[in-house]
Amino acid sequence: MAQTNQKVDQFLDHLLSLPPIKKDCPIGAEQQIITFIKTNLPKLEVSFTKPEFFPDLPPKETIAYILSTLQKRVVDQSINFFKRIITSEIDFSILRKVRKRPIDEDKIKEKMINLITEMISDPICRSQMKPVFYILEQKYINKVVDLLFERKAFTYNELVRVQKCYIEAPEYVSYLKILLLLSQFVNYPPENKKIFINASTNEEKVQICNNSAKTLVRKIPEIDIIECKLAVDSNLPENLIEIWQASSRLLFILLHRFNEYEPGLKAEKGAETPDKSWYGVARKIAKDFGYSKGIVDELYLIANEIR
Amino acid sequence: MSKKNKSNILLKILEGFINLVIFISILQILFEDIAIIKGFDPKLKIILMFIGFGIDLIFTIEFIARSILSTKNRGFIAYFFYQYGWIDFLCSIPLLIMNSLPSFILFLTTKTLYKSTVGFIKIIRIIRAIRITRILRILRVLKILKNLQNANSKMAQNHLSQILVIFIFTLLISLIGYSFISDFSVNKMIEKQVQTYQLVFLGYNQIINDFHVNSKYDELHNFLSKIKSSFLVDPKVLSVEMINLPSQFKLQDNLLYKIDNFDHIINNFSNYQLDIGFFRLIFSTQYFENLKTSVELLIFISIILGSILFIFIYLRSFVTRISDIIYIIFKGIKHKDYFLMVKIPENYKDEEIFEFAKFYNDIYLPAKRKQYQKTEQTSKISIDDLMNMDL
Repeated sequence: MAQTNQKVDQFLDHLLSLPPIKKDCPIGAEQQIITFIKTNLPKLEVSFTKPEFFPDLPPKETIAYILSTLQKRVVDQSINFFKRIITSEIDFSILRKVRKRPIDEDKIKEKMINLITEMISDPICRSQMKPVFYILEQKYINKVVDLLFERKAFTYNELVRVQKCYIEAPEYVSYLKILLLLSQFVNYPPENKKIFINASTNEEKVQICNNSAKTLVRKIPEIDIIECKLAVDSNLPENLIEIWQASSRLLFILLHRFNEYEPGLKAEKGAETPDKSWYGVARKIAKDFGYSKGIVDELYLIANEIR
Repeated sequence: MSKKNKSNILLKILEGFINLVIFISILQILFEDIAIIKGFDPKLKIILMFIGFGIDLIFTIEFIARSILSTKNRGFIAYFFYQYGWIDFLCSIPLLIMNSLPSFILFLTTKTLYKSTVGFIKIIRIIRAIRITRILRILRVLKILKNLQNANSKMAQNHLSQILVIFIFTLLISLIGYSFISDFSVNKMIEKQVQTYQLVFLGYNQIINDFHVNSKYDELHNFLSKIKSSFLVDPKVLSVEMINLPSQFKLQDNLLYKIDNFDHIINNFSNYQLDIGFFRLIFSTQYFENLKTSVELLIFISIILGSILFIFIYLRSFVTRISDIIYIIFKGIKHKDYFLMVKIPENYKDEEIFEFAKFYNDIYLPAKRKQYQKTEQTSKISIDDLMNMDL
């Protein structure tokens, strides 16, 4: 068994070090490997019986074993990553400043870590955390907020004045990171009868977000219902948002951007950068996809400065 | 290692070798011309002649090999007319047959070098010009530049090659035309000089004949002393010797005049011997030879510099303003998940191709994005990635 464990580890090491997925985040790499196994199942079943692979195990058992080992690895790596973000990159005192009420920061941190651990352990919710992972890994919010606050144009006005959230750029970064971490709660099956990605109508989507916000506030009562609502509403297009706040609209765009993010994709000669291209196309289809036109226009303008 | 891999490696080594020979051939032409002007040691000239022969031989073998291989692939016509086979031909067989092989055989049989001045038929002068066509081979070396600013675009390479062919041929035709203008030819210039000397020395001969007829044999010495100083006027005169003098004239030394470094000049530079009656003149033709070689060298260096400038300036401009744009749009149309926009420089936005790119950016890509449904059915990993896996 020890030898099989070792072989499975080596097999996964080999796959994870392959150039096409080497730069992917653990969640992205896991999705790629699962897709690879699904699409090549018959061939893999034959290959795995060969002496150099796993001749002692039935192929189906081998695959199940590989997948469970992979899942364990990904969950561990992701939890460690999110823990690090929660403990060292977010200033939770901002919630006190925004809602003007006392909060226990350590308690929130602890509850956030527990919730994220639960969410990451669920395969469906984990897969939806991929854009969140990339946004935080790239410190994208830090860069975007800094630039937006520097420009003091449309998005700044929406985030600060319209949303009546008079805080500085570093505080806003923490604020948005909290919302971002909670955003995928809508796709956490144990707490939702139907998860957001499976919703087929707009009414269903809004309903799921409303319910998720209520559940979320029950799980972490230290966070205000408004923040819970803003977090889950980051999944809704502009026309469906009930609390029409810029935070959700900005996060909605960023989540979509990083859902299509390809790590390691460089700008090609003669082409705009991936960011500039994405926002360039997004501003043209903003109405159809529910992106806030003003925000996406501004992101297009600063796209080349973000990285 | 598979057979295919082995043959690929062999092909790469051969291509690298040919590219190296192309560079050496350009240097060889440069040094050959410099050797004429600077009067290099004959040993060096022999080495350069051998290198030239080797290069022509390699190019000839390469041309024959490519021609044979082409009959197996797309055919000889396609190779000759569309894949620069004609350049391979021009730079190989004619140069080998008309230039380096005769020099090589002459050296083997007589141990002397071809001296490319007096007595040469006109075609040989043209061959020297055609020799520069070897530079056209740099078009093959363009492949080396594929990592340079998207020069791997076939359109950019073909376009640039065509421009370079026109540019190089314009200069070559100018050079060949220059060779044809008789007033500029070395032969013509030497003929003119010979005429001048003939007139003068015919006069001297007449005087000596008079001495002979009138038996004034003692006056020859005085007369020769007077005319000796006139040889110094023209530095091209290397030596003057008295020949076939009637025996009544008693001269201690038949050699009237000899330049100080006579042996060095005779060995290393071009010269011409002219017998006029009682006089034998050896004079240097290097001055005319240098004029002609300098023009050739100038055109050769212009071709190299011009080609480099075309490669670095024009290619860059072509790539950034045409081929890159086509490449990005083509990728966007071909690949369903490719959404990079074309970069449109502000200064060129009115050019048709950028108008087209704007349409692609603003209309095509958004429309394509609306239609696009991302599927997770394809993985970035393939089953081949498990090959050579060592567990």
